[in-house]
Amino acid sequence: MHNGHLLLLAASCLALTATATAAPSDSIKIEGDSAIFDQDANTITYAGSVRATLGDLSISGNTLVVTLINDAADKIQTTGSPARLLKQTAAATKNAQDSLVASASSIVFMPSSQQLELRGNATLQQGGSTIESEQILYDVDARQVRADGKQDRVRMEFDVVTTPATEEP
Amino acid sequence: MIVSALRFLSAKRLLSGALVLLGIALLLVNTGNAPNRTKMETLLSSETNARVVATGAAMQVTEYSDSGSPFYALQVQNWTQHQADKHHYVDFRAPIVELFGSDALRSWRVSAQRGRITQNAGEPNLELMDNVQLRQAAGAANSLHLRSDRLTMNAAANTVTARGHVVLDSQPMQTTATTLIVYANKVLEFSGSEDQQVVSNIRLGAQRLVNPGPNNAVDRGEDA
Repeated sequence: MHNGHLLLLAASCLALTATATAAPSDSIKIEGDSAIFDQDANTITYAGSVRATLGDLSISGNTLVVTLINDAADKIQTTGSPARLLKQTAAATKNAQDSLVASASSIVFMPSSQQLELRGNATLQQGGSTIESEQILYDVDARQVRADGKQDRVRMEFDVVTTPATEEP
Repeated sequence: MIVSALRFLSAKRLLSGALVLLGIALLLVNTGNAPNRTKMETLLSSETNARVVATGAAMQVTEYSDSGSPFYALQVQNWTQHQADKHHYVDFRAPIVELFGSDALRSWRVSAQRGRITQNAGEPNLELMDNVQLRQAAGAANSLHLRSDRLTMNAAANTVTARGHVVLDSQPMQTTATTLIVYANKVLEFSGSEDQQVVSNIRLGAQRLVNPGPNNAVDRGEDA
């Protein structure tokens, strides 16, 4: 068995489907050392060892801001150096290759569209594949990844497994 | 006269009479610097060297902020005033407090199992304890419900501080912390401790029904 790497410089947009996981959660848990709820601005800002958990998704960073509109969470933005995203499914527990790991300057979760947006030096790794781009979108419901390089190109790196031909008896 | 009366008492009665006189004498000289403890003080006072100086019923206190506007009104059914070494305080049970502060502190109603007003450096300090519940009056936008172990009102700073196990319910989330300071400018500041962070649980269910994802029939309310 032989492992190799295939490097692709893809077009500015692409999509791939991640492995199937459990249904998305109906609530998000946020932890931090402190928090400030500004009722006029309708924002809650968490600081210090911030972690947000949404089902099997976990986002960590230095600061997290929840923006409320009409008594509902409209946007949840985590910033860090970098902010990190981990998707640890039951299958990933058995096989580390199935887990999804990502990082970016900021990670934005939009509850209404169930979409995660990784902004600034975004990197996403799963199953031996790596995507690097200025912006990466992850659809939590559809479990789809979309990378957008904006001005730059999207860089993808795949782990290619080649199997030697079996000898005929 | 007292001496002549004692001559007619037996030895046993003499001892009982002497103890009664001693008790009366102690009550009469209760003006020294060292506070005297009585059985009543032990029952009512939480401070070991405090003594009860007054009790009463149906007390109402209105505290004003530095700007001259009313900050809160306190109503209690029964109260007990204690004198400690260098300060005095008033304890009461089942207090009801209405806040009149500006903006964030307006229209709040607070209840608790017990409370205390202390007088330090001329500034009254109201603290409510045990099962403290703070609710915004009906009809207020972004209505909040706060529960905590202790709550203090600071009229000078125009703030309310909740401590202990602090739980704030506000749409669409519930937040727990060890300290919460409510400022007059509608800012609420949560902080945790070494072993307990600030934790919020935000419900997303309603939004998912309004804006369903493309691959989630259950969340769209469709039949499977």
